[in-house]
Amino acid sequence: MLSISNLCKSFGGVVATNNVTLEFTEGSLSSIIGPNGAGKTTLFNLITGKLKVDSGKVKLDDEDITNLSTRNIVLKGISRAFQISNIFPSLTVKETLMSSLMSKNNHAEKLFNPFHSKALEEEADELLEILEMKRLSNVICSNISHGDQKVLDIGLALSLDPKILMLDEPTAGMGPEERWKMVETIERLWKLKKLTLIFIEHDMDIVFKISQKIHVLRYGSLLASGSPKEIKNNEEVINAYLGEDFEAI
Amino acid sequence: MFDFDALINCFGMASCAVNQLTSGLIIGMLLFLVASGLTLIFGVLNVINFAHGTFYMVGAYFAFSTYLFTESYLLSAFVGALGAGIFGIFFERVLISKVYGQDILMQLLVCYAFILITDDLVKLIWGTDYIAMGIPDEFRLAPFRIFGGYVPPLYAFLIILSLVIGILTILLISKTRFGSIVRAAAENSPMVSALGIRVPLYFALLFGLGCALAGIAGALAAPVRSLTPGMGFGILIESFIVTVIGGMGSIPGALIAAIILGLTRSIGSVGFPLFVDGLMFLIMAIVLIFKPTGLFVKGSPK
Amino acid sequence: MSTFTLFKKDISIALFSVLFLILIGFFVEHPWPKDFLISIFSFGLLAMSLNMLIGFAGMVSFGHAAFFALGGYAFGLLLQSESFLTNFGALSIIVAFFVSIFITGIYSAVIGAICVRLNEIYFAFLTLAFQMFLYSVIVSWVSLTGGDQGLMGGIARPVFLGIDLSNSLHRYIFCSVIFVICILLLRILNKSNFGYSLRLIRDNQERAEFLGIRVFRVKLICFVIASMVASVGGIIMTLFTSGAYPEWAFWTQSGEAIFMIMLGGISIFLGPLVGTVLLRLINDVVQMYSSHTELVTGIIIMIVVLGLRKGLVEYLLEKTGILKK
Ligand SMILES: Nc1ncnc2c1ncn2[C@@H]1O[C@H](COP(=O)(O)OP(=O)(O)O)[C@@H](O)[C@H]1O
Ligand SMILES: [Mg+2]
Repeated sequence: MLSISNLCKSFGGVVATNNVTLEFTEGSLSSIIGPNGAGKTTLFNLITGKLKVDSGKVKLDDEDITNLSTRNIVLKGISRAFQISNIFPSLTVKETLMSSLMSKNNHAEKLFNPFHSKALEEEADELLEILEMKRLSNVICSNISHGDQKVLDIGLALSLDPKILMLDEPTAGMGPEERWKMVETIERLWKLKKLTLIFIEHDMDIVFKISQKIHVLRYGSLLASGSPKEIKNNEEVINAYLGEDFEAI
Repeated sequence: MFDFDALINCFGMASCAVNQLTSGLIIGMLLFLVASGLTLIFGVLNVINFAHGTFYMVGAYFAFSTYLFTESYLLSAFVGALGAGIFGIFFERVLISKVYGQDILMQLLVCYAFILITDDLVKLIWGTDYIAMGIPDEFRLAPFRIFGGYVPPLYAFLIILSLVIGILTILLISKTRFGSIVRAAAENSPMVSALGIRVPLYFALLFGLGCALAGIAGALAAPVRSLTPGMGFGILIESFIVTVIGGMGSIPGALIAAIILGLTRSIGSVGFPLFVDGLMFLIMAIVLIFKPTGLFVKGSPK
Repeated sequence: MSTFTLFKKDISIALFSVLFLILIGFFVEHPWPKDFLISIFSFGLLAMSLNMLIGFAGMVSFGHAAFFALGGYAFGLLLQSESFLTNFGALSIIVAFFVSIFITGIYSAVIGAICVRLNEIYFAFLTLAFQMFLYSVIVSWVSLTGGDQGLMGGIARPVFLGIDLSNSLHRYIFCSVIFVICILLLRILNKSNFGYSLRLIRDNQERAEFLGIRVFRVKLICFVIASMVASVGGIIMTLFTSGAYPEWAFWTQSGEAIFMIMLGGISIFLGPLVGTVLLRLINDVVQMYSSHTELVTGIIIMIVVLGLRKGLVEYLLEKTGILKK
């Protein structure tokens, strides 16, 4: 179980995270919603060690992991994909996955072991299969579509065999069809790998369809937390955030 | 290697101490002018001008030639600054702006090639020998007496003038319309362009200003240093050390760091001449390890 | 499987190259080709190792020649020291060789630890600054280094294992073998797991961190290895000239090395070596026709950089369609 308590972070005058307390139970699928600038990405950055917290705690199964280095967070089994897909432009899709598998196997600093080994290639092939990206194996990452880059980014996070997977707007910038395909992929991976999955999402249809739990952020503070049903009926959320959009659902 | 007796002796005598302090201040103030140009260009354009020392050299040689004709130190300092500034605008527009936003490798090579070319041109025009300009006539006056030490008027003039130029530069950037446009463009150049302002022109002018600062330092230094092709490189490295210590982009930081370095140089030359460079680098390394942004800048250089 | 079997192809090519170079040594009477090749070995290692930083890892160093110079000076100084020679006798050359590389490794680890964590522009400038520091030490410590004049008076080259390095053929073969071993080492590093960690860092350092790569450590290791290989280049030069010169530590040497890489192209493994040969030829031709070598070289660099915007070799390969954009 991942829990954060009283987490705070500000940038100069901007309070990006304001005393947020949250829990993500093992094996759950939760989403974080909130308008742009609400502090969703910042929350991810604090949990994954990209930013140092001002105050508050992050705990994984009762172990304090606040402000550990990125690498140590990864080793604890938390990995993430990014809002703007964040991959390696000069490598092929397969090489990218092989690289992260190599890192997971703790072989990244082996000076004389050839990178292209059978074992690693097989491992990568397996992952390509799961991601349904086989056809793109040998394409350079910078030449694949935006949607595929997003999937690959998730694949990278997944390759590290995480317990907890955090996805920052996995469907951003996609058309409706591509979106639902991505949602399917996410749900499939969640079940297959028995992950604790946390994702940030703007599309309310998606959020209400697949989340078990929804957390709403506004101005850096937690506005509400609960099941989709509870959130749908939460007055504060309706007034403050969902507004007219919400009526349409 | 260390001669602490000499150091203690010197500081026991007011005259020696005053001499060392003035020479330290002069080194520091000239360094400050060069470094403030470097830091200004970096702060706005986010480019480190590896060829910055060249403009120091060009300023010195222009000033030297002007002095030969006019025998006026002030006029030649002005010509040195102006010449370096115009040369800087040329360099920015014709060469370095072509590789903005590209691989830093390209910037390095353009600067490297530019230094090679300019050094060789200087050799062609002024010859390879060391040139001494000598103390200009305007300043052949009796020295001031301060605490038993003698301070030549030229030295006092150099220190005060450098300080004035530094303050004017800060005012130019912080108080004038030119300054606010340049600062806004540094933050968000597409936005400023959209307002109908010709950003590249302003950037070129700013680059020229930075180079003019190096140029005037070279011109002012001409009577107290000897001129030689390639003289710009040493000062480039020192002014880089200054900007690292003071913080990239900070002119007040550059001032304080330059004075620290100048005093290190002059005091070191008495007490530990072989270790002066080492001490300068040591100070820089310590700052980099404990405060990589420099002493006077907040945030991180990432 | 051992490294040996997995890099079979590269190792065979290396063996073949050594043989080829040795044959040149035996069958070409005229000293010029051998002298030319030795200088290519030396500066080629400088350029190739610099490309390990720039091309493999995206760390643009402007002060790489410092390590070349340090290797050369350390090697020369050891072989001028009476007590060193009496202590190690016939083994002097071998011991001096490894000790010089080791000294360079330690020095580069200190410099690297300071520079490697900084951003690109800072890294370039700091490596340059530290190179000029070494230069000023060399020039001002006259009693040890001979200052401006360089390390004069020749170095001892005691015979070991029947190899006499004062014999020009022996020296040439010795240098060829060392050179090819170093290139093979760089090749293996490029194709190894470590090489791919470097690619990750070059392409996207932040994401590499999120894959669990220890970025600082990997970069530092890369910096130290590249410096040590550069020092071998300096050692070869010292063997060849029987001295060491402050110009090696001057910043223009690093600028030249960067240009070699640029000429040959950073994306092709042996590109920098081709660049080394090209620059040597350009230098020789320019020197023949003009006394203003710097001016002409500077103009050539401007033309290549601003005109082609990529390495000459890359440009030609793309033009002829061999290398896809
Ligand atoms: N590294 C940073 N430096 C300064 N301000 C930041 C930084 N990261 C985020 N912010 C600010 O914090 C607030 C929350 O940003 P973010 O977490 O990205 O929002 P969201 O992901 O919910 O859209 C915004 O006002 C943003 O400008
Ligand atoms: Mg966000």
